[in-house]
Amino acid sequence: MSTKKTVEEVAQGASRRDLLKNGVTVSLASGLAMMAAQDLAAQTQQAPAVLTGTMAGRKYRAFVRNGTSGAVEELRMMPLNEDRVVVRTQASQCSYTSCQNVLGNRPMQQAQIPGYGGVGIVEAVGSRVRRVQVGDRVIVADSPNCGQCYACVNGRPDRCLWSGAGGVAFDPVAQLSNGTPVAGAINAGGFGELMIAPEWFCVPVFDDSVPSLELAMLHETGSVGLGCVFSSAPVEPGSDVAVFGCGPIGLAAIQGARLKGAVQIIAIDPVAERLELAKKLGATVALNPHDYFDPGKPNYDFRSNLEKDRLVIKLRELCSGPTERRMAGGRPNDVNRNHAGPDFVIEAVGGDLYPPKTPGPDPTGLLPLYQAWAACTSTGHVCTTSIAHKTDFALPADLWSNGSKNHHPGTHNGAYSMRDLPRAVKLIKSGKFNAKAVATATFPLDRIKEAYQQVADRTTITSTITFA
Amino acid sequence: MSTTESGDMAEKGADSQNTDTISRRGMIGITAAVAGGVAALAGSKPAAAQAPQQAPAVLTGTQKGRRFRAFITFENTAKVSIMDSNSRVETVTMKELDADRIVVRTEAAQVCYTMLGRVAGPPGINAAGVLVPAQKKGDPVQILGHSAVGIVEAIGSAVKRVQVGDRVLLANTPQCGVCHNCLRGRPDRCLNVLSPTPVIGALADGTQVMQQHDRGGFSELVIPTEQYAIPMYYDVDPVQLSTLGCSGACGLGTTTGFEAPVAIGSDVVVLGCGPVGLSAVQGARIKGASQIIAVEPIAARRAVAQQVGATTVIDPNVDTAHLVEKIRDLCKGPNVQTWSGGVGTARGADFVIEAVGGDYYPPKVEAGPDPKGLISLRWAWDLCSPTGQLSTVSIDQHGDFSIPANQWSNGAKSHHPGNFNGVATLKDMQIYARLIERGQFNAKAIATATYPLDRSKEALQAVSDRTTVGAVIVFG
Repeated sequence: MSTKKTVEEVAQGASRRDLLKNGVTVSLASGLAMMAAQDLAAQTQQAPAVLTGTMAGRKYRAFVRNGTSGAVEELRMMPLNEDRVVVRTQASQCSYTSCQNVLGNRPMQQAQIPGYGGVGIVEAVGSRVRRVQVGDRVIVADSPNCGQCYACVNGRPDRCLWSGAGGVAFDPVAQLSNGTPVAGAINAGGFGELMIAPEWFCVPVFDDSVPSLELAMLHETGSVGLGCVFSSAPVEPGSDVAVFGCGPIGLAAIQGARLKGAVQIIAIDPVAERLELAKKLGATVALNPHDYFDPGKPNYDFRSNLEKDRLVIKLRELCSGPTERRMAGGRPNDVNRNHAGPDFVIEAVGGDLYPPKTPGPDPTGLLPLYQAWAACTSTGHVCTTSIAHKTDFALPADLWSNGSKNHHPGTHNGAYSMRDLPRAVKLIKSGKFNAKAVATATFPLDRIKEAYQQVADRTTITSTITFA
Repeated sequence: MSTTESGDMAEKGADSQNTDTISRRGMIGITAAVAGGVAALAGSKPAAAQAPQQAPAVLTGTQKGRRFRAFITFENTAKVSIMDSNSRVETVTMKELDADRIVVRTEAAQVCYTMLGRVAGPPGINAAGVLVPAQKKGDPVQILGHSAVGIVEAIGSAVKRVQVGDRVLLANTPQCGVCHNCLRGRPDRCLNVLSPTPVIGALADGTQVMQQHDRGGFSELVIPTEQYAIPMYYDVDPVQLSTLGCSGACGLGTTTGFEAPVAIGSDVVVLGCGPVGLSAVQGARIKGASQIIAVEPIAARRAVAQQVGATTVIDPNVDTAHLVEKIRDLCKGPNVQTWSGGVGTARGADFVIEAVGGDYYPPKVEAGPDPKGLISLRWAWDLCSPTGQLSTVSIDQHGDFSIPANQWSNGAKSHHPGNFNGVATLKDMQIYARLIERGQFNAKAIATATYPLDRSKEALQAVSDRTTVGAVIVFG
C-alpha cells in the first residue's frame, strides 16, 4: 500500500512534513502530488509557501463572491487566527448547493469564498492547533467535528455547533486589493489556492495512496451519503433500500448500502447516465421517475395523490416479501398500504436551483420528499438530506404524527467527520468505495463557472476544482 | 408479590391446595362457576356475591351459545351527541371459540378519547380523514374498546401463552413475536392485527358481532387472539392495570422504550397532559430527566402533571405567541461555552413528546389553542433541539402538518411517530406493572373515574368533556 511512498521518501530523504518544515515549496498537483514530487519550478503562479509568522499579507487567488459579482481575485491574507490552519488546496468538489454562490448574482452580505471544504496540504497552523501538523494531508470537511460542543458530546457531531448550520459567523481571513474583508463559506471556503479553516474542520489523512481528487468526493457529498446508511439509520443486511437521486450523495448512499449488505438497492433518477452508474456501483434496480409520473391536471397535488403515486406503488411491489403469513415472519404485500416498502429510504434530490438538461418530474423537489416518506414501510427509516426547497411541505397530520416511520433529516445525517472520513478513506483504498467513478470532471480554478454550469445542468455527476 | 400469582400452582392437583394459597388458575380449575372480576381474584368472596347479570362461566367445550352483555356501537346517521348515540348495551351470544382465541372475563377496560368518533360518528370521513363506510343492513356491529384487564376463563386448543385462571392485560397492540415487524425489533407495530376483524358472536336478531380492533373491552367477556394477552404477575388491582392497556403504555413507551428513551439529566417537553401525556411525564421522571416541562390548557391537569413529575407547567393559552421561545429559553442550560459542551444559544429540548390530537367534541373545561390539533405538532417540531428526539403519538388531527420543506428535509431532528412508539408489550407490560406495584408509576392519577358497563356513555361523555383525566369501565 504505502511502499511507493516509502520508496519516494527514501529517494527524497524527506516526508511532506519534513519538506515543508524545511521551508521547501512543494508542488501539489491534484492526485499526483502524493505519488511523485514535481519540479519546484512548476510553482510559478501558485501562492508561495510562507511557513512562519502570522502569514499576514500572503497572496493567493480564490473565487470570490462580492456584492453581486463573482470572479477569481487575488487576496491578501489577514493575520492567521490561532485556531486556524492554512491548507494549500489540491481539490475541492463543486457541490450542487453552491450553484447559486458561484453562478448567481444575488447580493452577498459579506464577501465570500464559496465551497464547502476540500482536500490539501497543511502549510501553517495557528498557535492553538493540535489536530494537524504542517505537511499533513487533510480533508477540510463540510461538517466540522470539534468534539467538545453540545452536539458533539451528545453523539451528534453531524450537527457540530461550529458548522454552517450552527449559526456561527464567518470570520474574514483575507482582503481584496481594495481592503474588503473576505470570509470562507461556512468558514471553510474551498475554491481558493489556500483554505484557511479552523482546526475543527480539518481531518488529517494518514494515507498517501488515495489521490486527492478521490478524497474530494468525501468532504461533502460522500460524507452525507455514507452518514445516512452507516450512522443515523444504519442499513441492515438483507434489507430493501431505495435511494432517491443519484447525484454524488445518492451514489455514495448506494455504495454504502451495498457495503452494509442490503440485498435490494433501488436507484431513482431521471438522468440515464446516473442510473447506469448507480447500477455499476451497487444498485440492483434503476427506476426513472418519469416512467411512474402522471402529472394530470396543472396544479398536480402530490400530497392528495400520495397513496396512488405509481412510483410509491412500484417500490412497494418491488419490496414485497416472499410470504404474507404473519405468524411466519411475513407481512401483508398490499401495495395500497405501507406494510410493504423499502426498510430504508434515502432522499437526496432537492429543488432545482437552475433548470437541468434532463429535468426530473418536479423542479421544486417536493415530489421526491413525498414519495420517500410515503414509500417507506411503517417501522422503516426515511433519511432526507436535500435542501433548496422553496415552499412548505405538508403531510396529513395524523399519518405524520402516528405513522411509525422514523425520520432522520439532516445534511450530514449521522456523519462524524473525524471518525467516519478516515473510515471512508480506507474503503476507497481497499477498493470497496469507488470514488473515482463519481469524480467525473475536473477544472482549474479559472474555469470554475464552467465547472458549475455542468453541475447545474447535471451533465456531469460532479465537478471538482483542482489546483496544479 | 402475591403468593396467589404463582403460575406453578396450576400444575398442582386441586386437592393439595389450601384456601389461603389457592391460585386463580387453581380456583377456576376446581369451581365450575366462579364469581367474575375482582371477586375471583381475592378468592374470599362467596360465589353468591356474583352479580346476577354477569355471564356465567362456562369452562369447557367450544363456549358456543354463551351469552354476555356488551356495549355495541351502531351507526348514527349524523354526528350526534354521545348520549344521543345509537350505541348501547346488548346481549351477545358467542359463536364457537377459535383455536387461537381465549375467553377473558373482563374486570376493567380503559376509555380512550379516540373511541368517541366510533360511538357517535356518522359514516363518511371521520376526524382522522379516513373513510368510514356506511353500515349496510346485515353488516357486523362492533363491541367498543381496545384494551382490557380480566381473568382467563377458557382457551382455544392452540393457545400456549396463557392458562385458565390467569389475570391478563389485553393490550392495544399485540406482540406475536414472529411477524415481520416483531422480528425486526418493532413489536409496537406487530402485524398480527387481523383485518377484517373476525366475528365472535351475534345479537338476538342475528346481527353478527365483532370486537373493535379484535379486542373490544366494553364487554363482560373479551375474546381476543392470544397475541394480545399478557399474563400479569404483579399485585396490582385491575383498574390501575387497565391504564396500561392503551394510554399509560403509550406515554411510558415514548419515554422509556426502544425508540427514543429519555436520557438522564435531559430536558423534556410534554405537550398535552391527558392520560398519555401524564404517563410520558412519569416516564421521563423515571428515566431521570432533570427538567420536565408540561404544556396543557386545563388547570386541573397541569396540577396533576406537577404531582407526578413535571418541573414546570405551562398554559398554552397564556402568551401563546411566545410559547416556543419561552420553553426554548428554559432549555438553554447554564453553559453557553461551545468549547465545553455548552449549547451556545437556546436550542430547544432534548426530547419532545406530543400527545394532543384533534378535538372530536369541544371540551367542557379549558379548550386548547387549536381544536384541530395541528399547532401542537408544529410546536413539537419547533421545540425539539436540532439534534433532539421528537416523538408524536396523537391522532384525529383535522388537516395537514405543514413546515418549510427545507427544515423538514434538513433539520436533523429525529422523528419517532406512532402510537405505542417503543412498547414491546410482552416484555414492557410486566415492567410497567411492576412500576405501579412499587409506586414508581402513579396509575391512579390517570384512572380518575370508574363506571359500570351500563353507564358507558357517561364515561365517554366525561372523557369527551375532559372533566376527568381517565375513565375506566369496571365489572362485577
